[in-house]
Amino acid sequence: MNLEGYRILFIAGTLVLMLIIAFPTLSLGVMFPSGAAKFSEFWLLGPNHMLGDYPFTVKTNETYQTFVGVGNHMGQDSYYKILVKFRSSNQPLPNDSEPSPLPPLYECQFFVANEGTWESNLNFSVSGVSFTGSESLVRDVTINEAAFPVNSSSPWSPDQGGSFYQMFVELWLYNMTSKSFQYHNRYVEIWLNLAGTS
Amino acid sequence: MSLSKLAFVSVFILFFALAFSSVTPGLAQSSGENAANSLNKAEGSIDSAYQTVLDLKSLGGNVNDSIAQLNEAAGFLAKAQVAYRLGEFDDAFRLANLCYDISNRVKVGTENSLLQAAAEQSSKAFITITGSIVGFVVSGLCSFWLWRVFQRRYNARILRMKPEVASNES
Repeated sequence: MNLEGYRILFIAGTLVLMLIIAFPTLSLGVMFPSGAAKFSEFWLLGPNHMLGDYPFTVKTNETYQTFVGVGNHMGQDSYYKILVKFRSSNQPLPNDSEPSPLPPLYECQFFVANEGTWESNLNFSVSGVSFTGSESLVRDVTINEAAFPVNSSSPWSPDQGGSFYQMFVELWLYNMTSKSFQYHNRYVEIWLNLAGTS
Repeated sequence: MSLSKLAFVSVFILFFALAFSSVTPGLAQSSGENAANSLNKAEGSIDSAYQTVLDLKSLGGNVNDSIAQLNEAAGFLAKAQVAYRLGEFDDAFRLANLCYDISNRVKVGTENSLLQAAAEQSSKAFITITGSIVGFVVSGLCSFWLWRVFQRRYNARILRMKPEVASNES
């Protein structure tokens, strides 16, 4: 290698060394994007903390236990809200981008540290159930000991031998920019069959 | 009881019944408004406490306690929202105020930690930047010096290389 080749090698080595020395200072002002995807886990489990043992056929005034949980992978401590809603089989569900227009019954607000999880009981019962002709009526739903009037009716399905309702939970995330909760495009639900509850 | 006394008692009862019926909805409305105002105040307080917690976290501060307390405040807020929805305005008012008190306490506590963390952060930044500048200059000067030494030795080595002299005497 001639002298010119060595000179280029020296300059390159010096630049690399300077870059290494400047790295701590650069890292103060430059945000390095993290490659990890930002998302939230959201789950609803049955009384034994299993996916498959949800209550399905429910009886009046009997309390059923479920667990709702959230895992935070949003890259920062996040502020969440869950809204519990109840619908008959002909009322709207949320979709991937819009929450259900039904009014919420119960709600929970909580903070979850980054990479942390939160879980809570969601105990519910139905009361004031009546069957009139070809439909059933649920007057009240009690969630974690708070009773909510719903007055929801659902048609009797002779094929499936029941009258079906759904309890679903929407996940909302607090947006610091708009200073409000926004639907986080996630919901979990369980079907409830009120056959033979009266 | 004489007729005049009976008439007086009847008028008295009627007056109170009318007065009570006109005041009760007003009271309910005003307690509803109080509860709504308290809810708004509690929501604002949680928001600003959360912002302070995020700021502290971004400066590398420990926010575990603050998050735990904010969770307590958020729990009260959620209960207050449910109570308000059910028309239990007194409960909503009480729970929203509890939420406000806790979140306000978190905010004040976190702001103090934030000032401390900001001071630590700025002294760290000063040391880092000064270190980088000094390192920059030293590495530049050292490289230049090394290059000069290397260049001198390289030239000396070249000069030491003597061309071979071939003899063509016959």
